[in-house]
Amino acid sequence: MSTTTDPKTTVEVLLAAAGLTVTPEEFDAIVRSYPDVRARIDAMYAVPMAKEEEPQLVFTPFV
Amino acid sequence: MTATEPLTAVATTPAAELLTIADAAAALRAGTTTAVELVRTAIARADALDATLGVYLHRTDEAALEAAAAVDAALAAGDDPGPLAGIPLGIKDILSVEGTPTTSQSLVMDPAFGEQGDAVVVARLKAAGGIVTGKTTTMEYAVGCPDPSKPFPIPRNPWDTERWTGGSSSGTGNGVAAGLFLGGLGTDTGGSVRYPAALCGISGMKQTFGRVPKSGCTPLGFSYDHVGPMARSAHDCALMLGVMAGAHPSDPTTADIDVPDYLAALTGDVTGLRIGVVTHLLDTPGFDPENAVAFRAAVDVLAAAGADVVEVTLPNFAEAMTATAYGFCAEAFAYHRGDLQDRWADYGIHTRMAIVKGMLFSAADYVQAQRVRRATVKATTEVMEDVDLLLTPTTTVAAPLIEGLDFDLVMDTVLTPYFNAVGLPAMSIPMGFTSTGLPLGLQIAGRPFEESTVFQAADAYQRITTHHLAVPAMTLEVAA
Repeated sequence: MSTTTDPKTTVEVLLAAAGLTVTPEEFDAIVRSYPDVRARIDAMYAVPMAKEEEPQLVFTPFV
Repeated sequence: MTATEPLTAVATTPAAELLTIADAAAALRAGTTTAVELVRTAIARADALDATLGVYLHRTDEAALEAAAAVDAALAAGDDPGPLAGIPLGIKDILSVEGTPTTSQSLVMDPAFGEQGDAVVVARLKAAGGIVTGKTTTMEYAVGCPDPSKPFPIPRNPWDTERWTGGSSSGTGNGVAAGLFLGGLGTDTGGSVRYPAALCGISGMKQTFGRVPKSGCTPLGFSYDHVGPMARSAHDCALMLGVMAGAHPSDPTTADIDVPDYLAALTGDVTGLRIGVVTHLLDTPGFDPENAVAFRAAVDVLAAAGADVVEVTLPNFAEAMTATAYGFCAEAFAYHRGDLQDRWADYGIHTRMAIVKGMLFSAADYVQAQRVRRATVKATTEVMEDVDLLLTPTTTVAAPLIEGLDFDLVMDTVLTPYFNAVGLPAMSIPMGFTSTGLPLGLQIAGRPFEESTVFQAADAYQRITTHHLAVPAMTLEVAA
């Protein structure tokens, strides 16, 4: 399986998977912002103290 | 001065000159005004200013006057209608209020949401005698920027109507600042109470996550949302939060922890309070030097009043900001995905472009954000072993121009989302003005469920300063 880091391809795939149709201008804007967004998100994986941390999720088996 | 005394003298003060809930409540009980007069004043200001400022989506003039008459009758009969008796309040239009539509300022919103009656917090405010004067403008579903192509008012800042109020609790922010009501409800997922409070020159509290029920409120980010009070002073916010707080079975995220008497904490004394000043945020790109001057002056005020001030660093600041800014988009995307598929163009452009960022967040990214949140909660707990409070500016800059607003740029100017990631109580209070007359906000954060300490410092600051009592020139013209 090939992989790509091309933002345009990534955004195309994500939009298709989500079933969303955006305008060409909006598509271009998402593609432009994607590298910065991805960098910010990826930086969360570099927080050392989070390495062995449980996620802050709440689930209860009752209502 | 004791905690229960008003902030300024009220004897024979006409309703139009009453700035705070504390003053109005005192005047009401002293018999120098009536609830009907307070509501009539609110209505007159709305008639004069709403078309310019874009405060309301829906007004409830008639119901408010009826409720006010009932308060006056109760007072005349010697009954106590509650601590908010006769106080005009604006409610952000993502909260359900009996007898009013709830639109979330969106063409997409299902009107059935508003048929559930009063949200729990609204019911609590009403039970305390508060009078709802209407539903206030918001960013669509509490996220984004104004979209002029949609049929909703553009909220404008009363300090400069070419500039924005901030959001998303825009109408509650500019409504309090312009005197269309004395307090109100906002919601805060990444700063939506504190940001408009700062830009409009008022006070606003995002209390600890779990302190106030969110039921009856349209969700944005389920694990980041807070319903918070907005008013002119910290005293008024404390009074409102005392009414709003407490667990409720309709919201399982609420914590069954006793609600203290917040007003009792307003001693005016900060002697010995240990305050951690977060100066590294002044190095944020684009930070306004005038804002830095105002912030340092605010720190000096508290230090001179007896607080022990030390510099601290907020751990994982950038990563926690990301955990909020993209985490809530992921939660919002789960809520909106179906409507975005079917009605993309019905959403405002800034709202749909903000929520779609959730699409860029993978499942692993979301879990990692929650791991960062827990790690940061632990790290801030360690920081706050040495300090009682944290001080930051609320924003990097004052109110931006409405023309050319960009949500991504806006998010880079707010210093609030960190405290949504960790759930700590944080409030914004006015700390001065730019040389062009735009308000600036001071953010004060505390330990979990220790809102009292935040209010204590904020109120003490407001007993020394008068920034929170400044009113925009345009509202003075109306009063005259």
